[in-house]
Amino acid sequence: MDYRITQGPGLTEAALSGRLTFNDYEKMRLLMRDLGAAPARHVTLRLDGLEFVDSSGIGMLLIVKEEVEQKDKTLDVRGATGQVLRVLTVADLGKVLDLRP
Amino acid sequence: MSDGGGAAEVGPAGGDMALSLSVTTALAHGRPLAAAVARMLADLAPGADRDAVETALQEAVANAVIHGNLGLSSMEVGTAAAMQRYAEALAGRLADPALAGRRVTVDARLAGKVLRLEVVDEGAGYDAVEPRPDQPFGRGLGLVSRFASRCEVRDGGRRLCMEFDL
Repeated sequence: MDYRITQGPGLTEAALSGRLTFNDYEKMRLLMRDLGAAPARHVTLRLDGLEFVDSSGIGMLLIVKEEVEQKDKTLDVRGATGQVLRVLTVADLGKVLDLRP
Repeated sequence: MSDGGGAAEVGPAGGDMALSLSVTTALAHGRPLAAAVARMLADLAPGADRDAVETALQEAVANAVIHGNLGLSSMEVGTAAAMQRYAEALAGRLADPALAGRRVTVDARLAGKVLRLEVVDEGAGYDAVEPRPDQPFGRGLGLVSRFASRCEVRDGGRRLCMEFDL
């Protein structure tokens, strides 16, 4: 998995790409570090470029949410498609994450 | 395939298909094994739901690597600090040649309209436990049961059998 962060007025956007799986703990730790250090109050995770996610990846997304909210920020998740959208739907992540198109 | 600690056999192209692939835990952790197998099966069994096969196979391989051969339980606490400790524990176990060298075997068989996959590890086995709703991890077997037509855990957790109706 790779990510790219862009900053805008009041918004930090992190675009994920590739595959988010059980060997991405270190990458996600770095992502959380960078999101925590960003000044904006709202964070958007863009998943348009993510082609595959497994249950470990789901867990990491939930930890991102937890860590972002611990810093009094809000989070939404956008752009999931294909296998990623299918897994997030099957796992009922819409009840926990703010999933947007 | 023998480079990187793997071995594969492919059966006859016509009629039933049998594929057996055996790799080290290190390779199964570091390379997209499920994606590679799913890509091959998509060509050999075109009626299969490729995303479903790859998703279920990925979970089975992850279980075999992390819970089976490396002997780690699911992370129970959902914090970045816990995730870092887990990543360090995982790296520590992968650095042990005895654990990293344990095999993960994927067997695939196509018989008529059913694709059958089995993933086997060399660990001590484990008892699958349903995760609490607030636990971020531990959803792997639940995903397998949703994406496979049928699944069964055997040999004390060392063998995960999945069937996909084509």
